[in-house]
Amino acid sequence: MASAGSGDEKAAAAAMITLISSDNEKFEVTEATATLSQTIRHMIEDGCTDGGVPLPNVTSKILARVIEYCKKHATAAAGEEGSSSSFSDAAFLEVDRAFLEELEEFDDAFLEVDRATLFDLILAANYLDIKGLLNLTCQKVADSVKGKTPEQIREMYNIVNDLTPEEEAEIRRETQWAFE
Amino acid sequence: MSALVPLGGERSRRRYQRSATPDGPAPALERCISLVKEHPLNHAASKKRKRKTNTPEEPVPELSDEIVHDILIRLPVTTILQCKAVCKAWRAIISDPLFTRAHLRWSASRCEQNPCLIVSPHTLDRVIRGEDWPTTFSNHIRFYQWQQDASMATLMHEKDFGNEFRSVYFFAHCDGLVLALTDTRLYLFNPATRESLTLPDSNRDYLGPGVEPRCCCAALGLDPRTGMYKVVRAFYRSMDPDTTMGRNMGMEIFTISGNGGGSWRETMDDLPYPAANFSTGVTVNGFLFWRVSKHHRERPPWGLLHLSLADETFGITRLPDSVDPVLPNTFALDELHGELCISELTSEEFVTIWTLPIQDGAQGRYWEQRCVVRVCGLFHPVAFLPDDQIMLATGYTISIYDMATAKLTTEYQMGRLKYQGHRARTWKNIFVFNIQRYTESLVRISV
Repeated sequence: MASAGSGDEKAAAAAMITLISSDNEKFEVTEATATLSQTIRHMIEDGCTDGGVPLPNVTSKILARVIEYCKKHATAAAGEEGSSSSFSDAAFLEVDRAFLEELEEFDDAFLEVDRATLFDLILAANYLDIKGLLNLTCQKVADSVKGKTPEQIREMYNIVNDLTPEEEAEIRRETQWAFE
Repeated sequence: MSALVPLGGERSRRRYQRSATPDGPAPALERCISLVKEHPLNHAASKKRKRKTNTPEEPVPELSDEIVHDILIRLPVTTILQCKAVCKAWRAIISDPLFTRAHLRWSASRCEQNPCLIVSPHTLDRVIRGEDWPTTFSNHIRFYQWQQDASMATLMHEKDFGNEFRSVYFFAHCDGLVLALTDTRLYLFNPATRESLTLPDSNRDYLGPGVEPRCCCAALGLDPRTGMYKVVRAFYRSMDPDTTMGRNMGMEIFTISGNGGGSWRETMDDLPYPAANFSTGVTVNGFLFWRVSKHHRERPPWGLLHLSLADETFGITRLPDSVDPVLPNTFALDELHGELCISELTSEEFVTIWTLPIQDGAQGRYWEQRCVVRVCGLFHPVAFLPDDQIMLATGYTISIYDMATAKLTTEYQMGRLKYQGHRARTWKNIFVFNIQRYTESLVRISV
């Protein structure tokens, strides 16, 4: 017989939250998906989600991608909780491993976006405080910078070099070997 | 509630304010780090009043300093040094001491699964038979970085010191800095940034004409109160004329201030018991630890000598009951995953590994027996690895020991590795390899 506690939990898992993008598009998501965002989690705890959660910094295009990420990772989190109970035989570990691989593949495919979208995702992940997504997207940018010269980095990200020639020469002189 | 309350802390609040006023003047530091997507001209540059470029029509995504910071800490030291030359804002972010700390934490967490090692091969210029410890060490110091399964050890830094020293002892490590102990001088390195510093000679060593009971006992650690690194070395105030051994040990401290200057200053607190000569101290959590000397009139305490780097006071940290503090070659002293570690040779083929977490007072509550390793002879534990394995180092090998099967699964002969830029397959007159777990860092030691 189900206890009252587990009944409540089921109700909570099925509870839906409405997220509203900057261009007024509405997205219905489960609470489990939405609470990957610490920002939204706090709002739910404070009971301020009735009538939807407006997200004035996130466009519908980006919000759709963010939700896609959260859905996948919320399922992963739920799966982990289930399997960590008492099962540790090989079959379960195998399932876990396959699932983790699938998740990695999902993340790789998820990051196949143009630079502008990637930056928008970083901003959204930062704003919504979704650690996993922020980590993933920042790492992607870091990987693209690795091994590049300052000139290449500036070109890739349209950064204007506002250092004076003297300042730049000074930086290069300090650790000349790093630029060779 | 109609508007989103930024609850994600300082980060989202700042971001929220920024996007609320997209056309407002950017704070000085954030001017040039806007990473623009569509506009061919830099958005940040257009914000500068002196440039008369048109403002882009639509708001462009702009990464705050915090996000650029989060991206840059993921990079290796060499790339970060280059990134300083990208623009003013990047230079400012990277030059911030808090960035160095954040990068260090990231660097350490990345090596958690696959530890990175720093290896210094020490060769002898010529071999003199019968010496306890050679006096013909090569003055060419090299630092290589190596990870398990890497095809080659990569050269980080090398420096030649001519004929400044005759002997080298075990190196001390802290946060990517390496303290090289020699019979004459102490050298401090950050091999990742290729900075090095020769510590000034001390005038407390002079015991009289022709007297040479040199004290080669030092350590390196971080003072958690000031955030400064301190080198501590021992010296003898006098000499026993019968045994010509040093007496009345004191200790002095050199603070690495980053401006290249400074001098040795003696500790106010007296040593409760002298440290063993030729021993390199280990640092854990703001404390330094040394073995105690066996050449002393009083009975030695059953423990290790420790020094708190914050208040510069000494004390004794108790050893496990079975570990004799002065019996030679019975235990190795290390830092392991942020705890003090003793590897005790319990019999000819068993080594017991003990760890002690260090909190305030350097008196952890009790030593925990972590595992018993079945190998011949002593070693330094380097890291616990996933799947119940442990990485061990001797002066010549690195091995992986499987605790479930009680067997060495892999062994790397350090002399047979491939070393970047070293063509010969072997090292001529190799004496020992200094091997330590390593986290590369941006910590500065000089200007």
